[in-house]
Amino acid sequence: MIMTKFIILAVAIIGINFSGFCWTKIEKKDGGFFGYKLVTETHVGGNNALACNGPGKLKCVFKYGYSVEDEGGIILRFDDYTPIEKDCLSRITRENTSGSFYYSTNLFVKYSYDIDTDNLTMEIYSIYEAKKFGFI
Amino acid sequence: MKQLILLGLVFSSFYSNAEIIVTKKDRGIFGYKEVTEVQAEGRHTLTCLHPGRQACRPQIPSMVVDGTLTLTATEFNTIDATIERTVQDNEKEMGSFIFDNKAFVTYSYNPYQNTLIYTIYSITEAKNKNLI
Repeated sequence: MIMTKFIILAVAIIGINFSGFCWTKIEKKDGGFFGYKLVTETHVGGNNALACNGPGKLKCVFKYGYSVEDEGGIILRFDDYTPIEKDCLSRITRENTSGSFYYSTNLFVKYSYDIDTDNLTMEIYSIYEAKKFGFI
Repeated sequence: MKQLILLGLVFSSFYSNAEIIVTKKDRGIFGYKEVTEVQAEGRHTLTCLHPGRQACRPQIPSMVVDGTLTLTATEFNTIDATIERTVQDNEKEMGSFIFDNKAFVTYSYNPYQNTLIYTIYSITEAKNKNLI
């Protein structure tokens, strides 16, 4: 009985500390001069999504703190995505409107920009997650 | 007498329609798709539309507003940045200001149409039009 409880607890701890789903997705569409009209932020089961749509005055940023972990610990804090976003924008300006790259040793980033709809999407995965989805 | 009338007409046409009008609509993350610049009868018009990759900037290094005012590209960029900062920080969607004691600027931002329009006059022109 005690052994069973121990096993259940051990499995629970492993499940909590090694989050299988830990991506961050940022989508910006149809922004205005000064920001966006609608900014939606969701954090569900380790996934973090930020969607910004329509011309307005709201900044397209995460307001609530979160962190992404893998078996090695925290690999992404909520304000870490800003330099990642800058890297994406720089690549889109210089190179192609879609692509992917490694950021630090722990993260894999995919991005795409549709110039006709002014729609920018960035997805940040842990290396584990990226391998799991077959991106790398 | 005829020479005086002709001279008056020359000066009046020289100072009339001597402004810079900038229209920006639907800016994308990286700039604009269409940037059109037209100079006609002293009026310099810069129109920037739809999401794209072009910056909304005049192509020429300096813009002659009229005989009393020539703006460099740097000065134009400063005016442009001042307008956007003013609208964003003060939340004033319409207004005017004097730039460097030599230009008068009026601006208007329509959030529903995502359009920003501003006009740059020389001080002389602004006084002639009773704007100041």
